[in-house]
Amino acid sequence: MRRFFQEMPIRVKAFAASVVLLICLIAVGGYAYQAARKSAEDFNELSKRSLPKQETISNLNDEVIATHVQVFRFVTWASNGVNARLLKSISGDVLADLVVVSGRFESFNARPDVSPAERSTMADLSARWGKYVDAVKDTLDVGRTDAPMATMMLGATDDDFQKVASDLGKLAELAGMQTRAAAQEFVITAETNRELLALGAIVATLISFFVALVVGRSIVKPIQSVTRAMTEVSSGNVDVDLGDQTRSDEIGQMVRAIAAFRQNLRAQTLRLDTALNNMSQGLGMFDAEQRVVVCNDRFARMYGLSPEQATPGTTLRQIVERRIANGFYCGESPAEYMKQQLAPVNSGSNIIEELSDGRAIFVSCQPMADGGWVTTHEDISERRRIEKQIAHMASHDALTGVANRSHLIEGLNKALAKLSGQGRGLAVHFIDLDRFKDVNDSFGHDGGDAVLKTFAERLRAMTRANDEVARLGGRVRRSAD
Amino acid sequence: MRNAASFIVFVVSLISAVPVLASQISTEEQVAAMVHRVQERFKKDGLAATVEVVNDKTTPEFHDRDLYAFIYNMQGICLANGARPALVGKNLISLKDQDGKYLIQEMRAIAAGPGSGWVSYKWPSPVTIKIEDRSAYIEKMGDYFVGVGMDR
Repeated sequence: MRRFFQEMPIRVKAFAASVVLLICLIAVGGYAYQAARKSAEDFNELSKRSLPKQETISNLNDEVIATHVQVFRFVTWASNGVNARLLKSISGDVLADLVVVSGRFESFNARPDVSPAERSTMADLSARWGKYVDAVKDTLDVGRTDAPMATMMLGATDDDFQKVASDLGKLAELAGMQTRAAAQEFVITAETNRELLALGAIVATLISFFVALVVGRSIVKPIQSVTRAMTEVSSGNVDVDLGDQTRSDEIGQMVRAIAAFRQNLRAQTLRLDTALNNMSQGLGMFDAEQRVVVCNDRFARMYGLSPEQATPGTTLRQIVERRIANGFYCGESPAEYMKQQLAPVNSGSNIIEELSDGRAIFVSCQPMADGGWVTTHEDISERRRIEKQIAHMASHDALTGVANRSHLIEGLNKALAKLSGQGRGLAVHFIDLDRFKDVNDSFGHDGGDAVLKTFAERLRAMTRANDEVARLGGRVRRSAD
Repeated sequence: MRNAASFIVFVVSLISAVPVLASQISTEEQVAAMVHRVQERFKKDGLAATVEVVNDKTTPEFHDRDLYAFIYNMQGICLANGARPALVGKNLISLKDQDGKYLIQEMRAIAAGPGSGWVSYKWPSPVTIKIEDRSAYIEKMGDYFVGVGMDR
């Protein structure tokens, strides 16, 4: 199961994570929508039923008060000499108001949303309203003919009014309590929904976070290890463990690609190494920091270094120090040589270094674009020796080893040119070995050659170092200054 | 200022009222006597006849200056009133005067309790047609009570 999840393709993981996030989002959002709808319904209930009921009671109260005020108005008019017609008119108004308010009470009682408590209060209210109606009717009746008595009766009428008003207040309070209870329930529901929503949001966030973490880890971790392996391989450490190459997901593809890359790199490195190590020349490649990038075996052997002493990363200074320690340097002094070697390579150069051990090395330096350089070292000692030998053979007599005719003439010309105008001269001894033919005839050519050789050796022993002994033609001649 | 003004009014009313009042003021004895006359008539002729004579303003034995009789039953319904016929037939048990006194209830309490006594209250005077301080003498009369009020 675990392996199945780990090796699931990345796009499937990403899709699964998106689906989980989407589900969380829809769950929270859907619940929020439901809660909002419930709130709207509750609010509707509150505004359509509870509040209008309160409003009805409040209106009823207003009408009762208005009627009562009309009664006072009637008594005031009666006491102040208002005529009988006007008095009768206002009295009729009051009676009509009484009928209207009674009707209002009845229709309130018929409402479907009247609670038992309200209904019982309404019963009290109706009884008291009845008493009030009677009191008002008596007052009106008395007031028509006996204003002072109507004034007297106002007190009792007002008592009845107070009772009605108190019952109305009680009714309003009951309705208010209902509204408050409904509103409170509404608020509690809303609060609960809010808390549930907050909790849901937190849970959804945690789930999303967890999913993101798990998916992220399962994607990022293998990618990191692949990146590490790739970095190692590209920095030359090709033997690093690449990881599971049998994975079926994109990571597996990457690991296999790196493995193939490493295979190629190994083959190429092998070819390069083979080529480098089979060169007749020593080759060293240095970077801008004067560190070995690549260097073949011959380069190391040429200067007496072990392969470990010339691995990539070794500094030029270390190499030169080891060469000096091994006695492989040239020039005035080791310090001078070091200075000359460490100078930056700016342009191509070819020089021959005559090493202190007698070898001649042809060194070619070629700068590279990145500030480093490539240098090839060729041991030309043998070639030079052969060249010297050839030059010697061309200018010396093969049998006796002294200079030959052309070398002598060349030397004479040089010397004469040098001496001309100085008033000085040189001496030439021309020696002919007479009857040498007899020696040859008597002792054979070997005998003759031995005589010539001995003669030449004796002559050379007799002359100074800067005198030249030469053999002209078949005979030995001697020249001196 | 206000005190001074009311003082002047008081003095003026004293000066102008005294000679008139002297002949008009009724006594407690006159009040009680009228009550007793009602009681006698009730005993002799019964309730209906008594109510009729009390309500009839032409009967001098029940109508004398500021004095007149009234009859209530024990529920507080006014059966007869010598000065204010409009009240006849009305239940006045919860009637209260300008001081908030439930005077009919007090009268009934006297009738139900000691059987006779005085009650003070405010009531429109038949003489001045204004609400005045009055006192009434109450007596129980069968299942009813009778009273006569006077200005004070």
